[in-house]
Amino acid sequence: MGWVRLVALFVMLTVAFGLSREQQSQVEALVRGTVLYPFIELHRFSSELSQVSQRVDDLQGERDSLVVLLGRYWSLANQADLFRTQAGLESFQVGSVKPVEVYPGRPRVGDPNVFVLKGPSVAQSDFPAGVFTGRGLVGVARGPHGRGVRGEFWSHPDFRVSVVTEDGQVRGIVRASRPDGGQAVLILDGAPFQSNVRNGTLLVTTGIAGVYPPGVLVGTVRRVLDAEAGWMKSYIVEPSVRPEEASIVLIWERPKLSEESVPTAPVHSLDSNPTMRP
Amino acid sequence: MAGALILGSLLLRPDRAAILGAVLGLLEASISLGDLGSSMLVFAATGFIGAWLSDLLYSDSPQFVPTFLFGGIWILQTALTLLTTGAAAVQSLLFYAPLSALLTALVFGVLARVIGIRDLTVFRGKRGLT
Repeated sequence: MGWVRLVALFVMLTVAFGLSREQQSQVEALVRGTVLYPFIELHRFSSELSQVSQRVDDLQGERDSLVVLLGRYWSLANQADLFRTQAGLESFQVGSVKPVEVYPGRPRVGDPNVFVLKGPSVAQSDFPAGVFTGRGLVGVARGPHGRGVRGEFWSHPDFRVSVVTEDGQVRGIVRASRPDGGQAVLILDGAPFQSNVRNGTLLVTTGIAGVYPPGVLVGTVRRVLDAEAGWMKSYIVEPSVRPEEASIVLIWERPKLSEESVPTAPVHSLDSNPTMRP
Repeated sequence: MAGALILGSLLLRPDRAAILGAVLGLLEASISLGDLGSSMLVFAATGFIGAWLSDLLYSDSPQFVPTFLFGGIWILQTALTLLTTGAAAVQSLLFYAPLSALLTALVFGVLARVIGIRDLTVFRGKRGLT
């Protein structure tokens, strides 16, 4: 009854191709949570065991950097809040973060640029949401994946982030690139031609769309890549965090807008404006 | 996954090998978080073609099974990389895929010796073709 098996195979493949990206995520999450669970957890355990000593050094370095940053900006934040209160403005809305574990997709075969995040109530986040560590940007979370979240590392071809230099002078868009199919680097596009971003300049997120918090380190400018005649420049950027270095990350939860700041005028009222009609 | 599929294709008929390939493709896509349909299709096609090809290639040589394993894994992983990532295809074809296939074939040979399987032709001809 070989033809029965071939028909069954055809049905399976048709169903697999017909599933949407979200449905595929659910199926993959089910398989990872059942059949593959022991192997994935064993791999993660052995991977963490080999990185313990290095991680301790990294954590100490991150803690020291955070203490310096906190001391520098704590009083500034308090002053800004005081001025806003005196001016009758709302308090500045600050987002929050949740620590989650990263489970990268298996590299080399399949898509090496995606990951799954697991953590308490992480699937209830708003998407897309930025994913980062204390050392810099890791990627973006796109949507739910079972009880976790599916996302892309910055090395994914579709990844984009709006950045600005530390001094706030030059803005642009950063994307990933794999020259000659090798290790992924970042490319800063859209920098004005007259700008002169020096090697070693730090690039941070602008936070302009709310997907990423402002001020997250993205990378360091290495050199000019290309200067389109009289129009704009591109730079090669060394990323601050490599995908293989990410184990525990933070997922960004953007601040909720208060009711007063949300526009209340219904859309159809615009149609009632005589000047809007042809 | 690839090694299991190629060995299975030696033991099974093409239709059964294709079903095995589809199941292993599902597992592969779940591990690598790649596209489900593409992985299942490539694995199913590899299982079918591997089983069909092993019928055509008759050999009593004990090196046949490791060689078939090496070639099958090389082609399968190259096909997967071309379909999913696209980039770094040449690097995969000439560097990663053959090394991975060689490692799998070597590990298979060592494990077979350790288990005590001296005649590797036992991995052939168990499909009730007679």
